[in-house]
Amino acid sequence: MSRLFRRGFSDEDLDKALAASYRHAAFADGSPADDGQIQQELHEITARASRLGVQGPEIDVLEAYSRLLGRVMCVGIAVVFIFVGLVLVAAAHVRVLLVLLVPVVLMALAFQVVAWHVLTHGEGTAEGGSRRGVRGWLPKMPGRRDGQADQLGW
Amino acid sequence: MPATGFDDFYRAHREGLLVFIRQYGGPGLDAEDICGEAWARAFARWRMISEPRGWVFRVAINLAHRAGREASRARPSGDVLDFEHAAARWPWSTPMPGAEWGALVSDIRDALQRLPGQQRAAVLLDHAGWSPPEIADALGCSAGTVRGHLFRGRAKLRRFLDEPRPAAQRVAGEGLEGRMV
Repeated sequence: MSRLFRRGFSDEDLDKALAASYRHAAFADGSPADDGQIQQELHEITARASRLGVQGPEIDVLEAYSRLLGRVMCVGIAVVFIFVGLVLVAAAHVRVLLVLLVPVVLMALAFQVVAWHVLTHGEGTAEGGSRRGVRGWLPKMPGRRDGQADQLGW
Repeated sequence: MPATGFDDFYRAHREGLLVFIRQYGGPGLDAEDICGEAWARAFARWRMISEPRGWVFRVAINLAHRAGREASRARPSGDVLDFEHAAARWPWSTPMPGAEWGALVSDIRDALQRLPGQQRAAVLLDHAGWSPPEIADALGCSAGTVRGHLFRGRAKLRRFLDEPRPAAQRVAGEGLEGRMV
């Protein structure tokens, strides 16, 4: 790091660095736009919006999928603990073990398929789909408030 | 297609979104195109959006994620910031610092890119003056989560920026003392 910051980076230093980054980003492509430029941009936005027939996903599918899986993992870990206990009990009985294992694996696979389908075919995604179906299937995302689903196209 | 209030909203937040995406997405991303797409989507759904600022930032973040994934597959790493272009547009009366200023901005940009997306967004929006509830609205999480992102994100940034750099880059930063912007 530069000499200024060699003795450790304080919060104040960080704010200065962020301010430098902000200024660079703000003026990397020109000074503040004048009214004519903004009007031109608004025309372009209007034209671009009119070309938006079937819209792409506003939600980042991979991120939403990972968050969904993260939530499922919390439940999954609890299930695994219970399952391991049952396995220990059933260890001497292979058929019992299979009876326990197969449904769990099938349910996990089914969930993956359903989750991926919902996230890639729901309303607001490239393939369109039923919003009600999406909202019925998906658990509420962490922190997502009621009504936000509509805004984001779910 | 009339959209009451969209023009004023666009004028108020156009620059904020562009600057945010330029920092959030890194130097290799076409921030103007991402913002244009986000604004077009906002325009198309204007009447359905109740909290437009958070909505349009959220959409732009998601578009940046997608563009980043595509760009990372399409190009090798090692993009550099366009300082010559920035210098040509420098609006202040004092001359724009040279390589040492560039080293500082490069450092903070590199450090930002090493943060997870939500922490990066939280730090940048916080620096832009957003409150935790406003950031939470844009990121789709709770205000408490945003505070956590801020604390961890800023701590990581300080640690990243404290890490020793190669000798060649240190030389570039020698003249920075006393010239912070």
